Amino acid sequence: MPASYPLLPFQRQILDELMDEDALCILSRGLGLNRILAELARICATPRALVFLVNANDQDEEDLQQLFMQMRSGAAADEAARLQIVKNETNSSARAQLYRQGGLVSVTSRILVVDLLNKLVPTELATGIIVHNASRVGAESIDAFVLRLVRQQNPKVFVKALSDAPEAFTLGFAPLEKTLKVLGLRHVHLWPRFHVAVQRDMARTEAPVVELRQPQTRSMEELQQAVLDCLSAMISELSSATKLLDTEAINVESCLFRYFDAMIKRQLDPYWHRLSPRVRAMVTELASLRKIAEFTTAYDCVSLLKFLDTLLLSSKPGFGMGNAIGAEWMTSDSANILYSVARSRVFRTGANEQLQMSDECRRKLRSLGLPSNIMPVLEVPPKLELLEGVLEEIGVANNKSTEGAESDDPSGPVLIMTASARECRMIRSFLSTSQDRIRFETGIQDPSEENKGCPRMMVNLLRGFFEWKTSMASQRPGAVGTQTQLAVPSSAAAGTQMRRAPPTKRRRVRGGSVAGSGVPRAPADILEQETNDIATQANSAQPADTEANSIDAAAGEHNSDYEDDGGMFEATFDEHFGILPGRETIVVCPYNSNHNEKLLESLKPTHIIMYDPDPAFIRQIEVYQAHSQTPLKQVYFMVYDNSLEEQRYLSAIRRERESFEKLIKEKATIVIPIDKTFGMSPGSSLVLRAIAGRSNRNARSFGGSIGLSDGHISQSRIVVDVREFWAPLPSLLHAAGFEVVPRTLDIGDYILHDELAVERKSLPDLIGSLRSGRLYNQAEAMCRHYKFATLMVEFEVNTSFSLQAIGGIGADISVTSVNSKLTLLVLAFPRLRIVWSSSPYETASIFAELKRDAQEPDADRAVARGQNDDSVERESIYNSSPIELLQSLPGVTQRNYQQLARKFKSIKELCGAKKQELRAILGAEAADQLYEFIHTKTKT
Amino acid sequence: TASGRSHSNQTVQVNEIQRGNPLLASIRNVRWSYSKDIIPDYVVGRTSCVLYLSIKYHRLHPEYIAKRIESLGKDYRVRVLLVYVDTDDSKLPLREINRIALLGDMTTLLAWSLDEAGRYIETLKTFENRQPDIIKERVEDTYSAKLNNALTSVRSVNKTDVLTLASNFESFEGIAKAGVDELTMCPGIGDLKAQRLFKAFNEPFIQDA
Repeated sequence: MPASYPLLPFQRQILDELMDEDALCILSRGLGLNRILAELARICATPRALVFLVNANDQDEEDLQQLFMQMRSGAAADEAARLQIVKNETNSSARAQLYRQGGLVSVTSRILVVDLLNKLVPTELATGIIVHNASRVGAESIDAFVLRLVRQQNPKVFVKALSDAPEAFTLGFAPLEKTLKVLGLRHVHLWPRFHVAVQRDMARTEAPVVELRQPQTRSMEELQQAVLDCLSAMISELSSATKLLDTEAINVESCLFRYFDAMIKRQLDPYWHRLSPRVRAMVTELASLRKIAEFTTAYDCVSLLKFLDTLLLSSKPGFGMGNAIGAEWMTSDSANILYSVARSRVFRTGANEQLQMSDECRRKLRSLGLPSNIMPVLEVPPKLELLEGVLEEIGVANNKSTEGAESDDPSGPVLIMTASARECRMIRSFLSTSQDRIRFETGIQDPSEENKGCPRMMVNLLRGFFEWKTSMASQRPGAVGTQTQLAVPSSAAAGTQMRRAPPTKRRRVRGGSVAGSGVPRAPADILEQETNDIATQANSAQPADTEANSIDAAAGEHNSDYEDDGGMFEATFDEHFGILPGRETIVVCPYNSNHNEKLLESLKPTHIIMYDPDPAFIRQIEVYQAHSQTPLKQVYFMVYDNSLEEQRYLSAIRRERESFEKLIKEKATIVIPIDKTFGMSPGSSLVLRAIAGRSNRNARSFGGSIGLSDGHISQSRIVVDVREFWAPLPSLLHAAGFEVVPRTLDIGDYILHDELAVERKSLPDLIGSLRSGRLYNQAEAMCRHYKFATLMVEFEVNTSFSLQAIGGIGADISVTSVNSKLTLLVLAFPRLRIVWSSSPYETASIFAELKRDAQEPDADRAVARGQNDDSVERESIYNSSPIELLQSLPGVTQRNYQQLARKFKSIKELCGAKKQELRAILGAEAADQLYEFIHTKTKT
Repeated sequence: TASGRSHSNQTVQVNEIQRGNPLLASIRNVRWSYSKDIIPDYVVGRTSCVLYLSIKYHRLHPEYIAKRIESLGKDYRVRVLLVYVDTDDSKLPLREINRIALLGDMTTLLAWSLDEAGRYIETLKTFENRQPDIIKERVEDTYSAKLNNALTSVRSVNKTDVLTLASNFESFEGIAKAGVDELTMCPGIGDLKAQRLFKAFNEPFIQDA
């Protein structure tokens, strides 16, 4: 439990400094941000105070809740300590009561904003705000709005902000300064790992770390090279196709990271709606390639091949979206190498004479449920073998120590940490069955390698692979959706893919490739097709009762790739980890920055094996080591030598260090003016501009000043749909001096006066809703109920204010272009007005302009518009992700989804509905459509 | 007359005062001809008309467009104000134009080039009698398109993932009933994505107290 150990001296110092002054505290990952938050929470959780915690995620809240439960039940029980967690399900009157009770209240910013605007929050009682994950706070974010509102109503509140993502504060121009201004803070506390105080505390006890550098297999190296080749080709292609990229930052190294997607998106976002489909496809493909690079080391050989095959199939026209553009890189030579190598380490094929397999071997294959004309290769991930060795070593060492001394040196559990839950399962599955090996007598034996046989896990994976392959036959284009396929314009890439390979090449594949050297360069989809044939043949030839079938029956569930052989796992004390049987307790667990500390605390391992490198976890071990009573005997750190995995790890460390160095420099020169006249700090220069723009045009003075906005002057009112609070506009409207009234609206997003409704569309929304038909329905409803039905097309702050494609407008009228669709909208709804805005800031000014001399809107009337008697209660809030999924199902429309949402709890429950139930709600036609969709078999 | 009507059915009528407007060179896909007896700048359909305005011109003659709108009367159902954005700083004039258009019952369309402006005129004419099917909610015809449409509504799920899900589970119902664990096991579906999917399928639609 986070609270069970005392703070280390440096952590105490962090907390003290944060208590002394309002500041933004940025910490290295792994140094215990949770711990600091927990301490702050404990201090604030008294009925004498009312402190809001914003931006905490589900897991943070869960952890805090556990901490508080402990506090109330422990020896020094603190009955008064209260932590309240406000979720969507807490209704408004309950929330009002809860705010009055005081304590620490963790609340979603969106709810808090609505409550603040509706005067539900007793801000005069508020003592402070803690902003967690502060890197996510931007000038236009809703958190900034919360801070402004609270400070405006009560200037005395304290604000403490926390973050352990230093990299986020170094992107763009002076981001640290911007964030501080938004938070209204003057101070930043920086706590890098190389801080003197941290160094001192950590140096006292050094963790005994052994670095195990596992060489990759030759095929892994080849895969790695092939992916890198594809990546660099793609990047040069991309930078020549768009001249918009900063080629300094976009390179092969940077594209190995997850943040690359965000970076490239930020660079292209201003122009995204104007880019050609080809460029957009390339950006998506870069992400696929990065995944392949990651999976080369993280996945076993079968799963990687499965992933590659899925990619290949989904890139073909005919599946799903009709206008899919095939991935260009897949037709390159490097891609062919990639696909051939990936397959050659799973199995080999060949005409019977080339594969010298004994009849016995064939029988064995058949009995295992595998096709008999292939030779399994099944390369075991080298780290798995290494892991097995390390565990043996630990076992031997423990045995010795118990023999030698009395049990004064007990060996505790062994903790294995991985990067993902998936790898955990792989490891557990491997370790529990690693003794169970199957030997295949190959004719072409590699004499240098001892044939230990294939672990059962790998064989099971292969069988699953062929079964999957068989079922995929039904997913192929042609088998499904012939109509779609006809509609597809044959793009150049697709054309190449459909081409049959020259017969010579085909024969070379059949000629039995030897793994490693001289890999044939057959086009990827030929290989895929061949595998498919093998699978289908094998399955049709399969006798009814093989060993495989009985295994299936025993295993029951067959969806997951790594099956834990039944009963091998005894206790699981958390859904995340299972204990392996044996002399030592072995726990396998994925990294999870929130739970790692807790895990170490409660498990007290003597050995830790880091199966994947993770910079934060190393610090967490250090912190644990610095205060723990149980000494660590050994930490094993595993990494593939000279691999992308290693490169990613080293770059991550370097990036963090460089970020801190940058921040330290920026901190030295930062100037935060505190504008006394506003009584609070200005959100940002842009917000200020919105305010300025407004007050210039009006004699009345608006702005955030407390006295004025407190109702002395009647404010101009705008009723805003609560769903709009994700967007920056409500905050800006408020900053511009409008009275913002949040309501759940059926029609329109903003009601400026009783006859003027505005549906706001950002550019992606506009394009999306024109495609889905949503906008048509909204326009229809708005025109029916409002005299002035207005569509507001709003560009984002940094996007280019233009609809036109970058390549210019084509020679012919295209039905699918945004211009054409807008034209159709104009023709369909002559009364619909369109207002154009270059940014949300501009929108605030436009609203002021449109509202000039108009009377104020009535909020209740706005809510009532377009509602039937039986409509949903005003109080209930929809959860967006299930609702969006619901709305996208066949037979579900804008008109009927609410009834479904009221009748059924979730999508899962909807799936269990009987046809009759659906008919009662949707009518026969739509209900049948929906029912059929839910129950159509995707596999045959 | 009959011939006159058929003439105006096929061509865009252009007001004489537009003579010399470089925009005319960008109208290529439909025929156009000058007409002496129309009030708007362009007549693009039986009941549709266009007034054209460039921002530069509006800056010089801010009172012009309101007068033109007033002169239109009530003869047209679709009244488009086509604005050519030909200056970099268009904020203030656009703010004004937005308001004038709203009060004057005009629908504003912005064009950032003469080609785009020309394209709007062409499209208005060409689509005069077209049904708005393409912007209406419609039913996808193939199962895979429907499945794609549904599953990609969950954030970060792409079509490769859809194929992965479809091929690893029995049906949409099967995916809906899958646990986070099973979802994670599908190649390419990471821990985070698996959680998002699980949430979309299992979280209640409505949160009530």
